[in-house]
Amino acid sequence: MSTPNQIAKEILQNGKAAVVVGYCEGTIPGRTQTHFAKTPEQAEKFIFSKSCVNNLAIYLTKQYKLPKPIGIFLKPCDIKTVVSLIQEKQIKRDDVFVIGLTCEGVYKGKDELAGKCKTCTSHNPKDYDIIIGEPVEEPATDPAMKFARLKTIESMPIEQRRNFWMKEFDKCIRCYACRQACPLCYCEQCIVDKTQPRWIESSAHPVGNLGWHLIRAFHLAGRCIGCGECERACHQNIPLGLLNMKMTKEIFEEFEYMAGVDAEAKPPLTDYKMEDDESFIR
Amino acid sequence: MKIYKLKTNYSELINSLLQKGKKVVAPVIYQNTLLFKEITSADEVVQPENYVNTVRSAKEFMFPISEPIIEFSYNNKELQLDDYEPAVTEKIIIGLRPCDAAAFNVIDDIFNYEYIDEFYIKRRENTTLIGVACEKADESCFCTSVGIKPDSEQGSDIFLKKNKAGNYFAYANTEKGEKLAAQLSGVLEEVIDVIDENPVYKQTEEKIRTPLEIDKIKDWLNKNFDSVAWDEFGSRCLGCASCAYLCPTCHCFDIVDEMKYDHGLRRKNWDTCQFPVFTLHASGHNPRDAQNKRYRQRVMHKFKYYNDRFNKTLCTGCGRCIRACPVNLDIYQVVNEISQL
Repeated sequence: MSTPNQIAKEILQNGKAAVVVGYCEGTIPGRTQTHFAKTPEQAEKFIFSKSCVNNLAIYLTKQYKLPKPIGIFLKPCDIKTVVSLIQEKQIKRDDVFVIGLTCEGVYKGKDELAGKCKTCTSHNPKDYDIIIGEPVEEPATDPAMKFARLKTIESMPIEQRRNFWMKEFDKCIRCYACRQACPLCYCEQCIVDKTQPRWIESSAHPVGNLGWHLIRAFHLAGRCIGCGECERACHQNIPLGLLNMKMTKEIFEEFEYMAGVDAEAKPPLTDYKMEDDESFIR
Repeated sequence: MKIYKLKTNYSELINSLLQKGKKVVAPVIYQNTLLFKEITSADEVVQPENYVNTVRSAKEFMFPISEPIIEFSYNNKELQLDDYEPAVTEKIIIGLRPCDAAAFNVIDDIFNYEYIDEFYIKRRENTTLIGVACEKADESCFCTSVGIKPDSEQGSDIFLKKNKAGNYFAYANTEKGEKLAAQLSGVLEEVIDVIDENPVYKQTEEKIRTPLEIDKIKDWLNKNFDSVAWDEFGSRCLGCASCAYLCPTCHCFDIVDEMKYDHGLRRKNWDTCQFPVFTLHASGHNPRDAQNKRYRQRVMHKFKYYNDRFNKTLCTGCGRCIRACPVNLDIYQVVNEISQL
């Protein structure tokens, strides 16, 4: 079986990729770094391990502007990002050479299974150009588990729920690690950076923080693929994934739509049907 | 310097401060996160043996994340400006690590340079720092690279350190520290003996990353603003402010006006050179138009510019930027590579 560095070398040599984005060893236990290789020699450093928790699809948009085609190591969950980015016309499928990784879960920190992996049902990559790893058995899918994480918060009375979030947002220092780590937060100018007019206060006070987290949740409704990077990047341990999962659930229940599944599908919030319910417009 | 023995323990010291009516800030677990918060009882406080360092540094108690500096209002189109007095109360911060205590000595220089920042200065004057020596270090700690050790007293008004038998001793280093210690005779007892070293601090020091060659790094930075190496260093940076906001020495801020109807506040908010808008001109031009340039600014400011101006390194090796970076962009690794170029 080919190893990550062999595959990267090969696709750089035969011109299938102008650059390869992958993982290399990190500087502290349980962490890996992003590595870019433009030559076969630079490809030597690539690895894949349980510490490869990052979603590398972040490097497909934003300011990175990598030469195309971009070879990229993606876990089955990360591939959903590519599907979404194609749907949203941010990248073309031909500009990406997906090196699919078979994955039975990655770690958060040194040896604890990442939260998103506990309910993951896709261990084998689907839309890839080349695959690393033998196919593994998919875990049994239990639809009830999909949104199980929301149970506690949904059962809270509204006042308690508000208190919960205000306490969590109280920790927010507006470093925007959530936005910067999110592969679908690719706006060239984020609404929070607009000053004329100022839509959301940039100050880390209760109003500003509430405004920021709610607008981010709404902007990702029906778009978030649940990679968990925002929550992982948040050193203040704000459970941001709960907000995004709640929006995902609403969209799923209303429109039977899940982001990152079908590149041909139209995201519900950019689509309409003649028979759509309009009774809420008054 | 006066040395005192703690008659009982750390918690009793804190309780005695509280009983004296002092405002005390200490590391607590708040919503699953280890942060400095004002406390009401020693029971809330995480014991120094149980943490390497807090998630955020203590700088927010001198230089808040967001604070009003001017109040303004319009009366029939007439602008009225009112100075906003900094909210200052006497405070004691306890449980700081040497890297965090030392950081204030570093940033004092900038807040007293040319423009005197009274908001920072007044809080600083009214705050007493009680540092605690480190019995643990993790893989991100690198304080020994920048002249700090697990038992360095610099920056602490009172420094707590154990003797060989494991009893805490308080070293009052400053006038402020001695003044506070004098009020605590119920829990502190002055000693004149030489205190036998606890080997744990030396052991902790050995676990810390190999010291960097700061001078060599500075030499390279002096000559290599345009080096192609920067393209590589900053290439994977996500451009968030995790490193800068958790850093005990990063001190940049933004000024924003927030209005409601005819009344508003001008606020001073944390800001960072890692954001594109930090240097975006009104014309639309941005001199730091790529993340590698912004990352270069961070390294240059810490290891060159601040040195040029104040003869100090703008880093105390606390390791927070390394722990928090979502992509493990490691400043120690970067400057270590620089020292080998």
